[in-house]
Amino acid sequence: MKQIYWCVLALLPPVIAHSDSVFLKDGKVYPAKELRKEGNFLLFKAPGPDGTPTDVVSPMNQVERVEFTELPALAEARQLARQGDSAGVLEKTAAAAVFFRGYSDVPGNQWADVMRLRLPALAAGNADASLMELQAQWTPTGDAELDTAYRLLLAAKSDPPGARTAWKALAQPGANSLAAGISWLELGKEALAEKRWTDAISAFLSVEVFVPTQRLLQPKALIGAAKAFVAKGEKTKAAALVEDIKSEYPKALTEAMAVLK
Amino acid sequence: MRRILGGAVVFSTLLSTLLHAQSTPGGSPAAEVYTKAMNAFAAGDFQTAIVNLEEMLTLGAGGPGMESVHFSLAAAHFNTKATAKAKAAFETYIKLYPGGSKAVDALLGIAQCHTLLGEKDKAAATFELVIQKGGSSKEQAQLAKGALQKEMGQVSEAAKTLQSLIAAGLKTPESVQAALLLSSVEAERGERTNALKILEQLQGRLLNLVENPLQLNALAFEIGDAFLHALELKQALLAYSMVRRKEDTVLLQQQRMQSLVRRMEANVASAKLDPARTVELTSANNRLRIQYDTAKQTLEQTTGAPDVLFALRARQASAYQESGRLEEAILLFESILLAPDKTGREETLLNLGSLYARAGDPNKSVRVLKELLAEYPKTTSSDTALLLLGTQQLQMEQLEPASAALEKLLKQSPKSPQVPTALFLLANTHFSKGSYKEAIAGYQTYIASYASGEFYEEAGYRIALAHFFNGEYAPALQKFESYSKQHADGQFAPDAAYRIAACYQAARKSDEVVRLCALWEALYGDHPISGDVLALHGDALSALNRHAEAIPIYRKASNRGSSDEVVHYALFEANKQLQKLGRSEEAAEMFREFLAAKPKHPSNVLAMHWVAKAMHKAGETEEAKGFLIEKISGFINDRTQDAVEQLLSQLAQLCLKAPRSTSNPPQTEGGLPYNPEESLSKYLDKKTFQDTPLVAARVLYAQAELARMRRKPEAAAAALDAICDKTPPKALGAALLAQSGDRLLERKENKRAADFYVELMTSFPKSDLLDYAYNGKGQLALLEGKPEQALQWFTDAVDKAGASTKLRDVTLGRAKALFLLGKVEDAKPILEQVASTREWRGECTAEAVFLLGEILAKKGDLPGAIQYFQRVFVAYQRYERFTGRAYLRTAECFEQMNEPEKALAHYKELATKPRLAALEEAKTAKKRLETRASQ
Repeated sequence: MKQIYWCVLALLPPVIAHSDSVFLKDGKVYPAKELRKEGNFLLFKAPGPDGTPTDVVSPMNQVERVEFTELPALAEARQLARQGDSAGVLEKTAAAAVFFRGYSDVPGNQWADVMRLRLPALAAGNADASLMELQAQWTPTGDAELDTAYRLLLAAKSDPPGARTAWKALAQPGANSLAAGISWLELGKEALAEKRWTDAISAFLSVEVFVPTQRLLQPKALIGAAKAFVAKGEKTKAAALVEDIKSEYPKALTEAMAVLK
Repeated sequence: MRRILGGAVVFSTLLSTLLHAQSTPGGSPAAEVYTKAMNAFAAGDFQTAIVNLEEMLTLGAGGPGMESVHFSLAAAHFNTKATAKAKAAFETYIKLYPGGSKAVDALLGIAQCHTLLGEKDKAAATFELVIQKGGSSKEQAQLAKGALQKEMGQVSEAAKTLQSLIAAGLKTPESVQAALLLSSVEAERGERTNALKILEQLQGRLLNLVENPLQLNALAFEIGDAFLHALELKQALLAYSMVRRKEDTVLLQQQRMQSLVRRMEANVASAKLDPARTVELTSANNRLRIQYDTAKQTLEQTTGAPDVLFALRARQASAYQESGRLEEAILLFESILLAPDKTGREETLLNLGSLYARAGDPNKSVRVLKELLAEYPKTTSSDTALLLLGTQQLQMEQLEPASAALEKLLKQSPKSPQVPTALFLLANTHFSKGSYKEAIAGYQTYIASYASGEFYEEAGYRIALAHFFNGEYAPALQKFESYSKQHADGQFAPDAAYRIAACYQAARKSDEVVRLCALWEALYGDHPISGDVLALHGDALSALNRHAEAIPIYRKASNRGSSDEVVHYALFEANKQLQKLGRSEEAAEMFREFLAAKPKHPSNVLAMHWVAKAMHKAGETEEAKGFLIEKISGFINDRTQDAVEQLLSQLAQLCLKAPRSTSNPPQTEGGLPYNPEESLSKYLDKKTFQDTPLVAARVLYAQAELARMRRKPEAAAAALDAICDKTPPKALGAALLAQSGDRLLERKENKRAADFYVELMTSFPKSDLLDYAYNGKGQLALLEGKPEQALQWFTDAVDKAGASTKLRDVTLGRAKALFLLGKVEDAKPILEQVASTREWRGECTAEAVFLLGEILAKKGDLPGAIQYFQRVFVAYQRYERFTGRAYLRTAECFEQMNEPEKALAHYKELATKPRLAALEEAKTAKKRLETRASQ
C-alpha cells in the first residue's frame, strides 16, 4: 500500500513553495501559496477575509492566468546560459521542467521559458539521457520555434536522413531561430567529420553570426570553427576564436585550448 | 508629448464618468449643457466641449460637480493645444480646489504646459512637485521630468531621475519606458556599458511592456554604434544582437496588442462581477484603449517602415571586420544578398568583393564585382569596383581582363580619386605581361603626375626592375643606383642593392659582384632575400674559379633561401663545386645535413640520390641500397610522393652490378653468379610492405627499370604492361600515371591511355610530370585527326606544364599539328629546330626531316623535298617507319618530276630491303613495280 501511495504522489504535479498570483476569468486575483493542480482543478491557499490562509479550489476553465513567481533555479540557469554552460543549465532546469510540465495547460506557465533554456542545452550537450527524459514528458510549448527545435533534436536520433534534410532546409543564411542554430551546429559537425573545412567554418560561424543570443550553442560552434581553421592551417584565426571562448565561455576553455595544441 | 496628452485626456474622461455616475452641477439647463460638454469630450470633440464647459461657467452653476467642469475645461484646452489657456485653467482649478481629487493631476498638467511652452525650468520644478506629492501620477512625472532633463542636456540629472523611477523594478509601462529612456541617456553621457545593461534587461518578457519596439531598435543601434565607434566590438555586437528584424517587431507588437485586449476583457469581466468598481475599471480600460491605439499606430508604422536588415548586417559586419574576422563579415553580407529586400544590394556587393579579396579568395571577389558592375555600371561604387576588380584579376594573373578593368576606370572617371592607383596597377599589369616598355611608360606617367603619391617610390623601383627583366642592364643599373641614392632606407633598398650586383654579374664583372655582395651581407644580414644574394655571391666566386670559397657561400645560401628554388639551386651549386674539387664525401655529408634539417623539402629526393651515390662511390653499395630502401619504405604507399620512382630507379641501378668490395665477391652465398634481379628482390621484398595496388605497381616499376638497364626491353615492357593492366589509374602516383599513359599510347590503347592522362591532370595538378598528360592528350588528338585540339594541348603543355620532360615530343607535336592545319610556314622553323637539336637526335629527327621534305613537296619544290627524304633513308636507317615512307615519297616525287627510272630504282630498293619487308610502304612499292612491269 505504501508503494501505491508514493506512485500517486509522483503522478501529481509537484508543489514548489513560492507565492504566485492567480487571475480568474471573473476578475478575481488571488495571491496564492501551495499552488497545485488536481485533474481539472487548481488548488491553492489564499488569504481569506480575515487574512488567514484558506483553501481555494478553482476549475481550470475559470482561470484566466497564473503569474508564477520565477524560481531561483531558473534565474541561475539563465546566468549559466549566458556563460554557455549547457550541463549547468540542464541541471538547474530539471526540477523546473518537471514542475511546469504539470502546469503546461495553465495560461501564464513557464514551460516554454524552461524549454527555451533546456532545448539548446540539449543540442549542445550531447545529453542523450536528458533528451529521452524530455521525450517522455514532452508537451508542445505553443511556440513554433521551440517545438521545431524539439522535433529536430529527436529526428537526429530517430531519423538521421530526415534530420539532415531538415538541417539543410533550416540553415538558411540570416535565419535566426533556435532550429537554424541547431542545424548549423549539426551541419558543421558533419562537414568537420568529412574534412570539408571551409563548409565547417561557414556552418559553425553562422551560429555565432546569426543566432548570437543562443549562447548555449556558441561554445560548441566556436570550438568547431577553431578545429576547422586549425585543420586548414589558419591557426591565428583559430586562436582568435579560442580567445573569445576564454572571455565569454570560460568553462569551455580547456576543450578549446586542446584544439590549438 | 503624445503620451502625456493622452494621460490628460484619460483624467478628464475618468472625471466625466465619475460625474455621470454621481452628481450633475446646477439645475436642469446646466445639466443639459454639462451632458453636452461631456458627450462632446468623450467623442473627442474638444472644441464643442470647451464651448459647453465655458457656458457652464457663465451659467454660474455651483456645487461639488463644478470641480470637474474646471478640470475638464483645462484638459480640453490642453487637448486642442491651447497650451496657455490650459495652463491657466489648471492653475484656476488648483486655486479653487487645492485639496481637490485631481489637484496632483492638475499640477502634472501645468508641468506639461510649461514643457510645451518652452518653460523648461518651471516644468522641471513642477514635475518635481508632483513627484514629491507621490501617488499615481508620480511615475508619469518622473518619466516626463527625466525626458525633459535629457532634452535640456542635463543627462546626469536625467539619469538620476530615471534611476529613481526604475529602482523599484520594471513592472509598469512607465518604468519600462523610463528604462528605455535611461539607456539612451546613459549612451549619450558615454556610459555605454550601463546603457547596454539596461537594454539587456528590457529583453525577454519585458518586451511586452515596451510601447514602441522601433524605439528599442533605434536604441540598440545607438548603443551598438557608440561601442563600434569606440572599437569595443564585442559589446557592439551584443547591442546589435538586440535589434529586431521587421517581422519580429511586428509579431512583438501584435502580441502586445493581444495582451492589452486580454487585459481589457478581464476588466470588463471584473466590472460585471463587482459593479462598484465599474468607474475605476472603465477608466483603466480607457487607458488601455489609448495604449492599444498607440500600439496599433506603431504597428502600422512598423509595417510601413523598411526592414533593418541591411543597416543591421552592415554594422555587424563592420564590427567583425574591425576585429579581423572576415569570415563572419562575409557570412553577414552574403545573407543580405539572399534576402528578398534589395536595400543596400550595391554596397553589399562592393563590400563582399572587398572582403573576398582580403580573405584571399580572388575568384569570388571577381565574381561579385562583375555582378555589381553589371547591375550598377555607372554609380559611385563602380570606380572602386573597377579598381578592386583590376587588382584581383592582376593577382589571378588574368592580365588582359585586369588591364581592361583599369583602363575602363581611367576612361570612365578620369577625375576619380582611384585614378592614381589605377594608373600604377595598369603599369603593373604591363609589367606582369612582360610588356616592359609599356610598364615603364606607365610608371613614368605616375611619377610625373603624383610626386607625393602612395606608389611614387615603388614606381621608381619598378622602372629599374622593368629594365632589368628586359635585359637592359645598363639603364637598369643606372635606375637602381638612382633609386638607392634617393631612398637609402627605402622599402626596396635591399633588393635594389642586390639587383645592382646582378647587373654587374651580367656584365661579367665578377670581382665587383663579390665586393657588392659582401657589402650587401654586411648591411642587410639575414634579410629574406639573403639567400638570393649569397647564391649570386657564390656564382661570382665560381666564375672567378674560387671554388673552395664558393662552397660555404652556396651552403649558407641554401640554408637562408626563402624559396625552394633558391635552396635547391644553392645546394646543388655547392655540390658541383665539391664534385669539381673531388670532395664527394663532404658533399654526401652536406646532403645528409640537408635531409635532417629540411625533411620535407622537394629537393630531398635528389639529396638522397647524391647520398646514395656517394656511398656507392665509396664502395658502400650495400649500405647505399639500405639507405635508399629505408627512404623508399617511408612513402612507397603514398601516391602523392612523386619521388619514390626516382629512388626506385636508383636502387635498380645499384643492383645492376655486383658490389665491388672484396669482402662481397660478385657471387651469391651459394656460389652462383651475381643476379641483379635477386638483389633487387632482396631489397624490394613486397612482403615487407603493405599489400596495395600502388606498392605492387612500384615494385614492378623498379623491375622494369632494372630490365631497361639490362637492355631487356621485352621484360621492361612486360612490367610496365602489368602496371597499367593491373592497377586502376586512381591508385597510381604521378610518375606511374605518366609512364602508364605513354605505354598504353604506344600499345595504341588510346581510350585507356586517355584515362591515365586525365587522372594525372586531375589528381596531380601541380606535378612536374604534368607535361606527360598534355603531350599524351595532344598525341591522342593527332591520332584522332583533330589537329586544332592537338595544337591547344601542345601549347598548354608548354604554357601550363612547362614541358620540362616532354619538350621534344611537344615541339614535334606542335609542328605536326601546324602541318596538318596547313600552316606549313609556322611548322617549318619548328621542324628545323627539332632536326637540329643535338640532344633530341633520334626518331624524332627522322620524322622532322621527313616532314620538312613533305613541306617542300607541298610547295612544289620536289627536288628539295627529295633531298630531305633521301637524308632520312640515308642518315636514319634505324627508324624504319620513316625510312620506308621516305623511299616511297622519293619515288613518288621522281614520278611527278617525270623521271620514272629513278622512281623505279627507289621502289625496287624499298621492295627488296629485307629490313623493310614488313612495312606497308614496301608492299605498296611491290604493287607499283608489278603495275609498271605489266604496262
